Amino acid sequence: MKKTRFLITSLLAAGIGVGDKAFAAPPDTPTTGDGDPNRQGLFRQFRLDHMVQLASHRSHSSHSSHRSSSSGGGYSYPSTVYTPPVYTPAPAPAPAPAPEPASPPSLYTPRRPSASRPQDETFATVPRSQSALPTLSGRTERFNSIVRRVQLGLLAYGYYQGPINGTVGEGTRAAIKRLQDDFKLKVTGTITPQVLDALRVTAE
Amino acid sequence: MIPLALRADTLELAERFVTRLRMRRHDWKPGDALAVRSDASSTLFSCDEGLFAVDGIDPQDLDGDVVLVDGRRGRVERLLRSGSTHNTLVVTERCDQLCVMCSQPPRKTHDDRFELLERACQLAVPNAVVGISGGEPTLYKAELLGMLERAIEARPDLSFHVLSNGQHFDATDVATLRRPAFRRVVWGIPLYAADAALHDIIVVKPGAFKRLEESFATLLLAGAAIELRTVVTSLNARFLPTLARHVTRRLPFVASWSIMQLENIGFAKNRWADLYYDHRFEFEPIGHAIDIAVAHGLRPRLFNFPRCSVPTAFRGLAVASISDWKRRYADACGPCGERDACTGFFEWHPTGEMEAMADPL
Repeated sequence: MKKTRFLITSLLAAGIGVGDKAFAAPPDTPTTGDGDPNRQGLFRQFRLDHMVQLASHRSHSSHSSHRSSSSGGGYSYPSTVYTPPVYTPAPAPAPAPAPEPASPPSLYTPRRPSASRPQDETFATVPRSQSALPTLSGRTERFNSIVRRVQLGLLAYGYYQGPINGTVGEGTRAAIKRLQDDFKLKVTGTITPQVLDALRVTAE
Repeated sequence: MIPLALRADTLELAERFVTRLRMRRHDWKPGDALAVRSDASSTLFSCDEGLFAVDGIDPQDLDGDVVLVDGRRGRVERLLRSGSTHNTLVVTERCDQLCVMCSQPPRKTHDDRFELLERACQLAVPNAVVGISGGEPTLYKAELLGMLERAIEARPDLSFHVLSNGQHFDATDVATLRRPAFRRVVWGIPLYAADAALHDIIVVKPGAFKRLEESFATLLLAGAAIELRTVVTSLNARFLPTLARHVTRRLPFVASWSIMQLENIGFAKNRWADLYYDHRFEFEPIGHAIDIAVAHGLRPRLFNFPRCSVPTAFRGLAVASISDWKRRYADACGPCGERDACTGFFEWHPTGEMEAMADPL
């Protein structure tokens, strides 16, 4: 199954099974070579995590129909573990874009761990400063799906325990930094091409 | 018209940064931004500074472009378009002259981008010729010369063409300008008349002509390459032969002379009727000036003169000078056999005038 293949490759690439760092709560079964029968189990475990994470989401059954179309560029994504319906705003009409809604439209309510970083949830609503060109319909939505994939990847690798909410806050940033440090990448705390590669978020 | 600024959105409200856009993974080098997703309206890039999206353009047109991403203003500026030979970096919008026909009227404020522009130069394609313009770049002479020297030392294949009003060079610059890096710099300097008073009137700055002579002396001592630039207006057209004599006798060290037709934008737009000299009806002073210069071994070039509007004998001097991003052609130009060699018209040239002038060859 394709989905499985991607995740497992990612896990192996991340060195899971060799180091102990990758898991917050490592499964008690070893995950070693290609013939390891536990890989499927490992995959299920992650997947389960996501479902818990996104429990308040609606219409899980429709996920397979949500694939971002790519035009001409030829960039496609490997389908990852979980593809929530991506909120795709209609492109804002250039001359008179609709004012940004007071609260960003969100398909699901992110889990709010009691003492967690508020930035993760509020970053997206920070208003654009002064004379910017007309704001597109929400800063979040444009980046939401890719950030979610990164958060899922970070979660899978054990670098992140925060909400999978598609916005980059302090928690996500810190997790990316730890990943970059471990992978000997340039430490930026941002979603760089190398981070996407490490998490297998982009197509090769 | 090729867009130079595009609407963009950044995930992080980072400070401004310069990066090179890449569409394919195998072209990507550390520091570049890589396209990670694309749909009909926008393309998402990832780079060291995080994610950003660029709107309203076919992403393939952006491949290899060196851009300045400004998250706060929500825009991406294409500093060095790959595949274009008309890339110009604006270092300041301030100017100490106020030329009557200025195509880019100055602003009072200065936005210091030298560091970003220097970074852009490092990312330029091999052997690029980079234009530097303003405003008046030498208002920030130390920063400018520093940027040029470092850029050329880091990338000896680059060369620069700097537009300057020549109001700020003095004897103390000779030593600097003699350094090896500056062999790769050409200075494009305007001179509008041999008569000091007329030149000063056109640039709207008393004493400008005299100050310019001091700068010429500095550049001469430094062995700098100078391209003289003369915009033809109704104020100076009749005196072009006099200017040609002045140039050949007093300024024999200039490397080239560009005689330029007016651009219908900026100050010239509202003064068009007063300033525009229609060379189709009286080419004589221009032709005479060219003859004098050619007789002295200086072959002028005609900038912004559509080839069909120039008498046959001088047509070969009319070069395709208008930058690709602001060039257009009249409908009548369709069948013209010299279109590829022709400068065409400025994007903002009055359409009626353009169609009336176009006379396919």
